[in-house]
Amino acid sequence: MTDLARDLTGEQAKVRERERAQEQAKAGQGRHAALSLDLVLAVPLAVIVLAIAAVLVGLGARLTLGELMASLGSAETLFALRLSLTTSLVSLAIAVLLGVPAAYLLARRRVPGMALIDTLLDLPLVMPPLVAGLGLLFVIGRQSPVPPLARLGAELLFSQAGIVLAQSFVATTIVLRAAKAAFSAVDPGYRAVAGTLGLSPARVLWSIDLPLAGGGIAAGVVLAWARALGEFGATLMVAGATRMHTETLPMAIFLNIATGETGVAVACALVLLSTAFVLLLIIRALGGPASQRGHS
Amino acid sequence: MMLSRLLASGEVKFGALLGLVAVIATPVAAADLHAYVGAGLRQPVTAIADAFEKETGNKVELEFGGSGQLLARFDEAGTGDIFIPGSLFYADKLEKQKQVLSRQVVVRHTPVLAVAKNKAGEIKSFADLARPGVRIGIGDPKAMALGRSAEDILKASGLQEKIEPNIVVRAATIKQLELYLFDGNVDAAIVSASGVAMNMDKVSLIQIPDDWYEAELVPVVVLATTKDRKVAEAFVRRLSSPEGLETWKRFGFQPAD
Repeated sequence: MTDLARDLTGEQAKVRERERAQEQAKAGQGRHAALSLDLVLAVPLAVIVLAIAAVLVGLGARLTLGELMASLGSAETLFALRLSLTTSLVSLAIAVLLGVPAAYLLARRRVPGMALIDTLLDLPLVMPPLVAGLGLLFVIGRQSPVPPLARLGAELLFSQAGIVLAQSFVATTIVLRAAKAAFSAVDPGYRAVAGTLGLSPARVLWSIDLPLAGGGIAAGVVLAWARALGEFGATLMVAGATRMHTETLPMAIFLNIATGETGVAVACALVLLSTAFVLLLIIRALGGPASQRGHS
Repeated sequence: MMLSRLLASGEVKFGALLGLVAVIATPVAAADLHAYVGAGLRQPVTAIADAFEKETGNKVELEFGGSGQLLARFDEAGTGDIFIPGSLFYADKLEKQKQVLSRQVVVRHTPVLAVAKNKAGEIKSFADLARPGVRIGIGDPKAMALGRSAEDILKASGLQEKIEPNIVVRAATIKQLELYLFDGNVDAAIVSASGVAMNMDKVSLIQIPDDWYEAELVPVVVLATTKDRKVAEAFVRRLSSPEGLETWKRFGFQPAD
């Protein structure tokens, strides 16, 4: 009996060893195949990275050190940088406050005419910013088809609040899109179970949906912020191009190109790009695991 | 069999692609002249270029844009025959780069103080611009030729300090400023006579004394990169001919002298 048992366990051990060896061989083959696939996939990645690097090099090569220093030290560039950062962050806050709740509703409820609403919400994404700016200008301008909006416009037009209006218009639907996708990806089973366990809908949102959708929302927030920071066309129309008043960094770039000061324009552009790079890097470091979850 | 069919279809596609490239490339090659033209000069230059093509058979391809932006474009492209910016400033820049074969001043901008129709009763003179609550728009003094003129005009009016607080916006291009003016989003703006010539139903004008500003002149430059100097010079002559000047006048520009 014990002999038999020993034999059996011996047999089992042998089988197990053989299986393990097979598995290892398979894994090795798998790793090998994955490696050659990765090598193929690296080509498009290299193309993308090189294209971006080439654009940066093209910009940088046009700039003399003197121009860079002059523009970094100028009150105008610093004003524009500060204004760009403050307005884009305020716009982002508005975009999140409006976009995330709206997305939560859209992700959970099926209402008739949903496809229509959904498509309407996509329009700002394809609208050239200049057109968005024209539309905003017309609707809050003095000839507004809705007179009360014209009174509001008297405050907003040509002001820094106007910049926020323009930026948040383009940023909000980006947040909404990303948040809706993230909420929709959360398994509704969790929500149902939490409901049967007696959690209020608000608690479900706060402790289940938001944490699970957080990564996807964060990714959308980063995109929206980048868009607000670089926003130019809508801002130009709504807030004007008044130096040291409504002059964001993209506006400073445009004004300097219009003046023929390409060097200063490029310097401003590099300030904008390096600021964005650093901030995006920080965000990535802070929300690392969360944002990765959102992407997968 | 399969392979040959595939190859054949590939050849067809490649042939079609070549044909497409040829179609895209042909007009550029056939265009006799390429001209960079300030956006504010679009209407008169287009009209004269059309006439020139009818008369001589030489086509002038026009590229419009802000003058500074066009200059940057030319710097990069390094090709083209004619440059017509909105101000001498850019012709001087080209001169410094040794890109000018010849230059000639053709017309001048006439700045006017335009008042939105609904405010015409309240704003009748420069003094009225200083009243509290009046909303004024002008051009950015660096980006826009008429922005520089506007600064001169405000200074010469002797009221600059009082008018300055009423300036609610500076625009980057003349068309943007006109957009604000025609809709009444600013009460008054210093724009060009050419811009309002077609929109007199929307504004009323207050004349500005000639000695209040240095007129912005419109030069026509024949570029050193021209491939056909003879035709280029002929187009310049057409622009400054009596018939040419009539066209300019129709769109609100005055002859330079």
